[in-house]
Amino acid sequence: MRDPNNHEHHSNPFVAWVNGESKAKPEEEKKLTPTKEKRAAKSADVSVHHDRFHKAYKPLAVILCCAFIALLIFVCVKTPPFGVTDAPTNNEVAQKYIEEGLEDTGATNIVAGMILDYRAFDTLGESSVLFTAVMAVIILLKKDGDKKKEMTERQKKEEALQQHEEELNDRHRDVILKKTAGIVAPFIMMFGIYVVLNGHISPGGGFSGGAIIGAGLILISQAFGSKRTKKFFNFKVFTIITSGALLSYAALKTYSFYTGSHHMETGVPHGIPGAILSSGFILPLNIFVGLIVACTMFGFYSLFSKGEI
Amino acid sequence: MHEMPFVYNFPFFSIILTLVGGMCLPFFRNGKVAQKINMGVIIATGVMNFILLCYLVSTGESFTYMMGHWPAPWGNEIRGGPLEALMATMFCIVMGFSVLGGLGNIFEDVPKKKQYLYFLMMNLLLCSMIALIYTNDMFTAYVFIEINTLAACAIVMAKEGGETIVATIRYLIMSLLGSGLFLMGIALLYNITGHLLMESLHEVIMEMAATGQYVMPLTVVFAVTTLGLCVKSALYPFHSWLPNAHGSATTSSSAILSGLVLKGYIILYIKMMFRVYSPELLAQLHITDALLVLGVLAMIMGSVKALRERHIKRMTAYSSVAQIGYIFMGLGLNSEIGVLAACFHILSHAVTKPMLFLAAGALANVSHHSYEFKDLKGAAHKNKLAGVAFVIGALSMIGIPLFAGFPSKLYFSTAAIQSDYFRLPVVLVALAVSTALNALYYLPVCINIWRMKDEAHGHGHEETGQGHGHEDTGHEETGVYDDSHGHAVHEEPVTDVAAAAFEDAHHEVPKAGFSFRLSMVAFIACNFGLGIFFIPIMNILSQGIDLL
Repeated sequence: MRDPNNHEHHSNPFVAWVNGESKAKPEEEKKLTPTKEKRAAKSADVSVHHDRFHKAYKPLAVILCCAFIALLIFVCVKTPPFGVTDAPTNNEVAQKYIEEGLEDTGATNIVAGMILDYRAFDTLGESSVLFTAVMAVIILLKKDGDKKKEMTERQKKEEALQQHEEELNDRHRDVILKKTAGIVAPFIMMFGIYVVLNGHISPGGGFSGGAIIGAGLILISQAFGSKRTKKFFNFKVFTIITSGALLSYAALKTYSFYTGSHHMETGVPHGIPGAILSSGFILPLNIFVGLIVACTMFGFYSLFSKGEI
Repeated sequence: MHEMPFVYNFPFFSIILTLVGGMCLPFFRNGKVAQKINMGVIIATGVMNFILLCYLVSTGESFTYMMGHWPAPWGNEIRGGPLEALMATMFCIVMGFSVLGGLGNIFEDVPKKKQYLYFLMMNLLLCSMIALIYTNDMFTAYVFIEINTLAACAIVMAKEGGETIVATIRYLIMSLLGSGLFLMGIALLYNITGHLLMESLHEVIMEMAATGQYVMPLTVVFAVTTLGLCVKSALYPFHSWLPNAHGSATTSSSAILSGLVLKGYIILYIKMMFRVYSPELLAQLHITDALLVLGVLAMIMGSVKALRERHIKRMTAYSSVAQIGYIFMGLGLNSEIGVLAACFHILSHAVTKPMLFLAAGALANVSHHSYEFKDLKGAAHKNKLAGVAFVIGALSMIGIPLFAGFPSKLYFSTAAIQSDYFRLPVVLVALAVSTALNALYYLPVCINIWRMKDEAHGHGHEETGQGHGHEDTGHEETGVYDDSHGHAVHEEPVTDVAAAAFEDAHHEVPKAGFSFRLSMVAFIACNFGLGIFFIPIMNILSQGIDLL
């Protein structure tokens, strides 16, 4: 909360604009002042030095970027060429993944075996990154219901405008979009679920399947309005799914890390490679990752467009 | 291997506990509950890491711990040693007391419905920092750098207002630039070597350096990863995001960002220096020289910029830029004692800077929430403990004996004297100039906050002097100090203070709570602890560095 007694004046116009204290465009007034006066004002201003820096900034940035790109291209030329057998990249690590991956993890899809079994700790971290990102966006954008009284004029106007827009949208919702979405959305969802469930057998997995499901949710929300999606997907459901999936992931992996480091068996059978119920923990982990990714994608869309889930 | 002691599980437990502690908070959605869970997690993690530290110091060994069923180059692995355990313990202590000290401000600054998210971010931040400390794998490091980046940005913008959002945007862009450079470095490194585990990387890199194969790409990898971590830990020319982010965030966030978040990356860099590259190789490629130059620049320019500030938190933030410069200078000296001094400075800065930020926040609370020097005049009389803590923190940063900042400066100068003829004068002069500048910007503030209100001429020196006496005799005697001071020295200022207090009466002066006092006392104790008993800590650190 900002203290009303805080007399600190902001030198940055952008800060004032974000706070709703000023409008964004003072440039029009500037144009009206003659060049001579402007120059005089400038020389009196302490920030002249700053302006000079800003003038040099763009060309400098471009030159720096070009130099960096050139350096990186040069380095890429110097790295071992792709597909050469005696490159140092072809070492025991990749060899074991390829030769023994199926036996070790039970997953026909080596990538799934790598990210969800060999290097599952990294993937746990990756899912937590998504969780952190969506929670950070909630801090930034989610509207607080009980702060209506304290809203500034600008926020009130924005709110009204948004509501109006939404009503308009609801009335004149695009027929083509609606019909197409009605036909396509079930297939998108089904395909997403297929990709998630078959992550250990065929290309795909939690991350890609979750992204497909998330896209399907966004399409539904676009075509039929957020009121319809809210019936089955509100903030409560969102938190339960995201946190629940992540916690389940962490629980499963804690068990497997603990047993692994103590050289104990997990007691989970690998099953027959290629069957849907196989490869131990990889199937449930894929499902959890898929849920997290889908929720995160839809959460981002919904927070950025409406400021709520 | 089968006889693994149970304490070896503790790094893994701490990472999972902090992570789960963060993930479960959306179920509660209540700031107070979230705060209690956060505190519980921090205490549990701290205790575990402390036990591990005691065990490792007594046995004098380090260990690796498999994360899963697959051994090192195939699966993930974490590694612990005395250095890591000490750092993790210290991070938990500092984090716990930083949150406690700024608790009032958190509940005031962060909107009620989002308070639980603030503590969620705290848990994730602690998780990522502990993982960064214990990691033995470059990609794991990168993943947790990402969590760290996002959580750090989130705790800046948790305080509502345009200023914090602008600061967060800057911070996010610079921080992502750093992560991007680091990721590019890892990608290139993997492309050349085919490894991500630190030991295997070290082997392959040493072999390549010996045969002269792929030296050019390796140099770029070293440079790019170093640059990325330098941007993220705000080394001098890349510091532009720091003063805004640290100056505008809520008090606890500033304390944690500057005390811990910057250090997580430096510890990772130290680990990489020894376990992935080697100090000799870095010296050959002149990367340590670059660090030395930038560090020296940061020490001086950070202090000069701090000198120009009139905003107490921004001044403290610029002082962090200078202190980060000290640490990188120590690493750039490329000697064991230099790294030792850098490690110790990480600790001493971690116990000092949060104290300064918390004290500054508390002083601002009693002066109409203003951080400007002119409004802070005499603020220490309204919150004496905060005033004392600020003075102690300032003296420690200047490097007065008995305080935490002294041993690190001692070791920095020892390291400088042991280095060659070219580095010796540069580092010694930089140390002297920076120390003088520290004194120049910290002491006036100390005098200012202890000065009587509405009294321009200086009893300032006396007051800070008496402040010392009183901190030696203990905090209970503040009343006695006040009385004797009033009767013996001058009558009128007391009435002035009374008048000022009367004026302020209608503007409610918030009382410093128990948690704030607890955290201040703890920080002061830590400061003296590090300042006086520095030899055992140096021993642990050098043991840890040897084992790296």
